[in-house]
Amino acid sequence: MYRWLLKYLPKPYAFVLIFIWYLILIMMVAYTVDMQPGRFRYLHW
Amino acid sequence: MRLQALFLAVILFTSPLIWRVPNYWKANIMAAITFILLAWIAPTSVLLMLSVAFLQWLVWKYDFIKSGRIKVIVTVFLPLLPLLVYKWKFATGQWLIPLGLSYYAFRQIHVAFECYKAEMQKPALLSYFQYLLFLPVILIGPIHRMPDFQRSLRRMKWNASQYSDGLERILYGLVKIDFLGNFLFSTQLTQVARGVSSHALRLYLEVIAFTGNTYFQFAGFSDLAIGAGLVWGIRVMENFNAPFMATNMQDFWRRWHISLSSWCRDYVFQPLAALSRNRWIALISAMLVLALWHEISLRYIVWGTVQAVLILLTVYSRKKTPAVSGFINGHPVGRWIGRIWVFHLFAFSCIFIGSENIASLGTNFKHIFH
Amino acid sequence: MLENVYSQNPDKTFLQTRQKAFTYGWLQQKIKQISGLFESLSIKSGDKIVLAVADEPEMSALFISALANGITVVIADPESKAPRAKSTISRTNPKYIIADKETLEHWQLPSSLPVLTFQKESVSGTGLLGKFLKKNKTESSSNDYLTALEKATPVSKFPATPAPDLIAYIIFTSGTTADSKGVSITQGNLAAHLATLKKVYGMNENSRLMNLLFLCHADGCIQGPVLAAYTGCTWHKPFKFAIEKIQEFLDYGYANNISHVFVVPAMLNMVLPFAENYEDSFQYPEFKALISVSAHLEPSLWDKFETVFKVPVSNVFGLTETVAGSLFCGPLTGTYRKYSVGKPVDCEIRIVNDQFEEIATGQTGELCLRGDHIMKNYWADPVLTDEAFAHGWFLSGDLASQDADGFVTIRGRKKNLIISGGINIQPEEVTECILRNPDISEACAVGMPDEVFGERLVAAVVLKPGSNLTGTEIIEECRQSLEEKKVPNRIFIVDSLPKGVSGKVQLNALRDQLLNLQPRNLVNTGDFEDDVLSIASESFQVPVTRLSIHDTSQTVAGWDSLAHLSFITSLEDHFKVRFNTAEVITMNSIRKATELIKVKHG
Repeated sequence: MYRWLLKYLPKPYAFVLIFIWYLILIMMVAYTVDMQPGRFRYLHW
Repeated sequence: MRLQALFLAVILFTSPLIWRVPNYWKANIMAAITFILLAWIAPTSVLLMLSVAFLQWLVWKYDFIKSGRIKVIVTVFLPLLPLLVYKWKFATGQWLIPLGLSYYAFRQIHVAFECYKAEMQKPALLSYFQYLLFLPVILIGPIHRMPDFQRSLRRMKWNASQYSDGLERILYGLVKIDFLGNFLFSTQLTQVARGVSSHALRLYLEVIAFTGNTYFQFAGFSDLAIGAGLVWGIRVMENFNAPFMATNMQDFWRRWHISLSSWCRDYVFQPLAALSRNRWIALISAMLVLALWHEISLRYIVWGTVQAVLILLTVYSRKKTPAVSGFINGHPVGRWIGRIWVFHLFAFSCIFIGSENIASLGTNFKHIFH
Repeated sequence: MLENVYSQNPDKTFLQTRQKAFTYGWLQQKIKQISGLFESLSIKSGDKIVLAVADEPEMSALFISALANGITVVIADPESKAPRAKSTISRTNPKYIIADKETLEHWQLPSSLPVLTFQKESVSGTGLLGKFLKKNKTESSSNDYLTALEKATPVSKFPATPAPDLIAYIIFTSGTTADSKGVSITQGNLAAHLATLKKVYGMNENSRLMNLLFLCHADGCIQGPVLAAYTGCTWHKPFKFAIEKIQEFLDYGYANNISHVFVVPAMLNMVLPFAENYEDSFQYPEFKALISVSAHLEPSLWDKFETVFKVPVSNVFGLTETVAGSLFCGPLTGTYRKYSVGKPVDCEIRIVNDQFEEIATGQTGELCLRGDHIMKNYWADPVLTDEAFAHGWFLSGDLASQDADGFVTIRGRKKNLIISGGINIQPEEVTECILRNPDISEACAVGMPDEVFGERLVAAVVLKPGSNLTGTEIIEECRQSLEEKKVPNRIFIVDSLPKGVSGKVQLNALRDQLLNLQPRNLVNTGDFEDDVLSIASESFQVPVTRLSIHDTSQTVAGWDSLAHLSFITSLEDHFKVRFNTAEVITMNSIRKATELIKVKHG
């Protein structure tokens, strides 16, 4: 992702954007990680 | 998930160690970490798994079985034993914890076949264990191949961008599992569905929730495995290639759970096609094996047969109605129609496995089309 | 010359083998320790020692320590046979001989000679179970090298730089026992040339060079450990080059960011068939140069390799007499022109006719060299030395031409020398050996053109009337007294040898005659096994009676990676089948070959 951004943006912008992007993702995971997992049938060992 | 989180943590925390030791030791250390962790969680299972691998190796090493055919049958059947024992539930989970058992067995069978075909040198015991005891893929695949693994081992070198790709991949995996799968599709969409008064629409939404959840969970777990592999410096094969961008069912099965479908192609379809000279028999058998790999049950037999029939119909329609097939696979609008069609075909075929038994399956279908 | 070793950070790796890194600290300690040993044995600057140790770390430490002390090393091949070894020793009169235990057992030297035996302490690499089962044998006798080394008191500081006119090492070139030449390279020659090599290759302390060639050859030793020590960089020697190691070889360079890869053309040729999926093997930022040494690089091979791997191949022209190189085609800018040997670096050249007159641009004549790196003389042989020099120029014996831009191309050889797979073979040595058999009246060893090895050593033999000696028997006999690589690949039994008026064998006519001789037709009996065995017997030059279906590459003496390839191609030709890459790699036993052919024939 970072390398993709670098293709279009100067380094500092890409860095800030990627930082925000990862932060959003991490917060999404943190928010949902304790939720009741759904029925996930496909995954048998 | 708990176990996977533990494994991920172990991989992340040991990665500095892996990158500090000389190349020659890396594979041994990775295998040792895996072994210690598994032995701590499920000692009996690990013992059984390694004994089977050891027995296979004995057969290869000390040529006491002379016939190549019998040898391949023995080395293929050996890894199936613990799998069958578990799947038929002769033993409950008491002593045999299925730590990625079917992935493990399928990897062993892959090596057995490759040795038989002489496409691969019979592995040394140590390198065989290194391959089988590779933590990133042990729980939920993919069924990576041994020559690829060994090549990746040989080419291993520190590469910061590869490491950061690995970390990013793990994050994406977590987002897919927790946010997209668990939260959006499983929890939220199901809740929306519950509020819908129409029976048919409700079930339709539930089917979509189930399929979407299945995809995101599974692709997410594959991302975790691939990301963890990269963090340890090993490139693991991709398991999903945007499956819902497929425009027909044949294409779909080349993009969905690639490591399993290619396994079935190489070790079920091809040998059976060579033996029977009939590709339909080979195809149905391959799809049945693919289905039964998940669970040995009637509903998976039905599901596998449905998948085979769908692929057959794809091939058949290409021959009989080339114009329609050309439009679906070639025209931009047609392609999107194809994608929606494939998504629904697959989603509805999953009703077979989403149902607890055949009776409830009947009710489910009745509700949708009522 | 060794300042970079003495001042190097002790933690830096000097030699990386597959399992172990030997640091500069280790090397520094070794130099002090070995210098101590030399002192205790009263081996002094100017004395000579014979070294025939196959173990790379120990051999390179010994060689570098001797260099540091101004002691002349006589480099001997641990595989060389007794008569040759004895002649080397008697001609150089060394103060000490340090050699492998098996080598010494083979050489059967008189007990009066001062000898130190090298025997590795621990047994390594016999598989997982083997390591547990095998006990560490430590028999130590009074002349055990490692014991003596342990007892010696290390010197307190590094030895002072030896005088430049001291002889650093002597390598005996191929030749008959009587006329093999001892190339004597002085400390000054070596130092001058190492500086050239470092400059041409663009090496520095961070370079990582991979050189898998034998240490008993100048190209393996000088462009391996010695060049690494001189530059203060790391030398990688993970394994011996072999056909089943080719993929590992390519991956190794990639994984370890090797900057300089040294090869001989035969290696490039063997790598090519395995290129699929490995085309990016040299595509990493640290890679600097792939350097082909020792033998003529065929234009077609050069082209193919560069196209497939998308990497320039540097070509070096040099002789044992010139330490390693003289003319370089790349990687130094301005010296690269494909199919040539480039330009002379740090030396002068002259291309002359038989009257030693310089000839015009584009004309072919003998290549003469002059420079600080040219050897001092042939050891204790003023006659040969005189023949090799004219007016201060060294006569290379190679025919060359120079174009208007100064690029030199090699056109042929003046001297009769066979270079097969990068190894120099003096045909007279082989002929002499064959003629020892009383049943043979005439013999002549020649090099036949070969796609893979450049040249392939064969011999034409005229039997005495009534003799029914076979080629395989002759080869078996050669194997007793010649190194494996000097054993002819094939013996042609002919009625007579083509001779000129002077009575000398006409080599070109003989070559044509032999080219016309079809390989012995194998009768297809319908039983694959017999045919595979007779092809194996031909390829590995072992009597068919000594081969069985149970033989593997481990049990057949001649089954090396070179012979392996000819075995495969002969099988393919004979049975009209084609083996894929995996099959070629895995076919390491007669049984496998037979089974595969059975499978392919249905």
